[in-house]
Amino acid sequence: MKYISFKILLFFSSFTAVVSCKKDNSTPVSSIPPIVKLSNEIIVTSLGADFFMEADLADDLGLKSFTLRYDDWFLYNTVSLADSGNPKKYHLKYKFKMPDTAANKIHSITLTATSIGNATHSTQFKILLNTDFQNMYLVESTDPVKLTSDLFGVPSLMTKTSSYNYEMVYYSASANSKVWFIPSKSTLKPFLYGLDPSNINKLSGDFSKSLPISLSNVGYYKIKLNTLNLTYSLEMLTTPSATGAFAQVALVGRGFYDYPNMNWQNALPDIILLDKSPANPYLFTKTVRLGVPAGSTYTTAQFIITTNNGWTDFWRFNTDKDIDFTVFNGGTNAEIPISTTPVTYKVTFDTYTNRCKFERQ
Amino acid sequence: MPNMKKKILALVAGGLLVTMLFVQCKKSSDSVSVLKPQAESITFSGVSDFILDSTGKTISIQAQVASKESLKTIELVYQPWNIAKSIPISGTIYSFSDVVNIPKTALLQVHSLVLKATDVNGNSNFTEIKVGLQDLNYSKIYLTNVSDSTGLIGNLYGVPLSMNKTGSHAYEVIYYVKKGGEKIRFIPNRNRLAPVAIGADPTNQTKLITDASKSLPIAIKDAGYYKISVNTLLLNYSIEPYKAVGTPPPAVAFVGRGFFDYPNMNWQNTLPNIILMDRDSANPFYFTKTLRIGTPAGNTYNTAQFIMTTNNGWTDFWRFDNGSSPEFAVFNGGTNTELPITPSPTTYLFVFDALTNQVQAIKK
Repeated sequence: MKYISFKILLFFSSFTAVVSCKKDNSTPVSSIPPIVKLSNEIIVTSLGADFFMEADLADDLGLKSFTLRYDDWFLYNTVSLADSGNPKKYHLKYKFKMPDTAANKIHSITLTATSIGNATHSTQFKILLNTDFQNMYLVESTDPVKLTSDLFGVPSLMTKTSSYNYEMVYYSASANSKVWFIPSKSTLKPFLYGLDPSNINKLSGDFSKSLPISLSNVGYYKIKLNTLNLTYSLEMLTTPSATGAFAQVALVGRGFYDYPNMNWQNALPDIILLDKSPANPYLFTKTVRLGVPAGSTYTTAQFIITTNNGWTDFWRFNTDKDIDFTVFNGGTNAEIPISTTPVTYKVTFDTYTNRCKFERQ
Repeated sequence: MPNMKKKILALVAGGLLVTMLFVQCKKSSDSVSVLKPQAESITFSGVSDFILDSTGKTISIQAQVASKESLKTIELVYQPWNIAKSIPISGTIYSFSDVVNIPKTALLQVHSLVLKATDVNGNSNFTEIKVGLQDLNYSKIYLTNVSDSTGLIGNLYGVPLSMNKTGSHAYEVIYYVKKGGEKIRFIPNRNRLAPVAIGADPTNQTKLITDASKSLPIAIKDAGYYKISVNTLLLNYSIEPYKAVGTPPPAVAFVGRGFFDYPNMNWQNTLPNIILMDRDSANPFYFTKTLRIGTPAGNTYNTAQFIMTTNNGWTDFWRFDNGSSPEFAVFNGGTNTELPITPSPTTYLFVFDALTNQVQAIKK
């Protein structure tokens, strides 16, 4: 009797095991991982845009599922292929939206294909933000206020030489001056280019990581950037000969609060001579107040820069308000709204680089 | 005693049942719909995710590895380049730095090197370093519909068709498909279909491959204008129908000299001493004419010089972007052709697309 009950129990136990594990026992086990061929291993997209990840999956036994994972974006999705009949071949096309707040770095989304034999194969999609920007600007500070407080010329426009490539000649006014680069004139996020902390020979475009590029000497540098390769180069230029510099430069026009009689005369005393830098004969500065002078009724400041030489050698601007650079013997007059309350600006004009800025004081 | 034995047996059998269920069914509890992933115990940061360089160059690969448990090995693996490095390591953080040479013979595609870290418990995680090739950033790419290189030889000009380079690795062209089913590929060498002829990947028709011996010509089903874009880094392409806008010219005629069967032509600008081209019946912007180029009997000059006009005196005309190797017509600008000829004539099909300004003279 005791042996019978034992046998019954044993029989029952085996039966239970068989019944409850039926599925598993019919599942082949394979150590051969599925084949995964990505259609677009590199994806270039922009913030907030939809993109597709595409791949061909194949397994001789059949595919159980695929998983897409990227912890930074809380992406973790396993899609069962049971309803598709555990196919031997499957073309995956998965839509995903680039988060609006994604960092400007390369994002790696891992795709794992699992066979019905539970063998897996993982590979990665690399998602890049489109960094072929229309413009690129140099900034000397990562204070966001500095981007909007000045009248013009800050940040400083670089030249786009080809796709992803930007360059400019920049005057480092002091030793160890620090610069970064931004494609948007009004914001530092998410694109701020500087040194990559994990490899200082490369650039990082990620606001949260980028370190400043330091220019060790005083003088002119040619700075080149490539936002695709994330490479940069700094070349210190030979100091330009002092003989090529203009003796004097002056602001000519109207709207300078402390110069009520200017009104477009072109000779002293009704022009404003700038101060030549003792260190660099191409660099001129002056602190001025813009505003409607007492006794005048006009509401815009209009001006150009001359050499105090009548109207022969002069500089105007690439545009009248949101000015990026000066144009020698060409361009348009500045035309900037003013009121009777004056605002103080430090004017810096570099005749070597044709860059002029009016920084609010 | 028997009762005790019975109890023990029952316990053993019961235990066996539970064990069997537990052991055998463990796998089936591994469901495919887990909502929250287990945190990775090994993570990577500061990875050289994407490197763009040329074959034959040395690239440097970096990554920081952090692990909850002590690390055991780090491996860099890429079989196509015979890279299989395994470095024993220890500690919970590791800074990986290595240099890799891109073989001169590397396939012209994106390469995915795998960097894998394993801890002492056997947990592992990986990341990939994708290497794109500057070799694929061709200064020029041409569209061609020929199936072998002989079709690229002996043409007078405009074959294969030049594409616009719109950015790094990016090319674009507006192209008129005269007959549905036309098959095209993209080539960087204007005289050769090998070794590079970019076409569809036989294993994935949405992707391109560069190997001329494997790539498939891409068939365009219907006649009409298309905007064709090719990216040689991402190796993808798009072909979208393009709507022709504008007013087709009333007529297009060759004016000049050097047309073998028109001995009296010598820069007159009116009929009969100009050669009117035939307007395509389906596309009013598309003009063709089969002509022989050569020094006509009774003449001694040895270059063909010509422009195109609207048969309207000299007011509206097209000259060329280049006199000896033209690719485009320049409306009311450009330069005259200056193409060497001999007294033995050669026959060409002249094509002018007034929408795209593309010009071709295809050997017949």
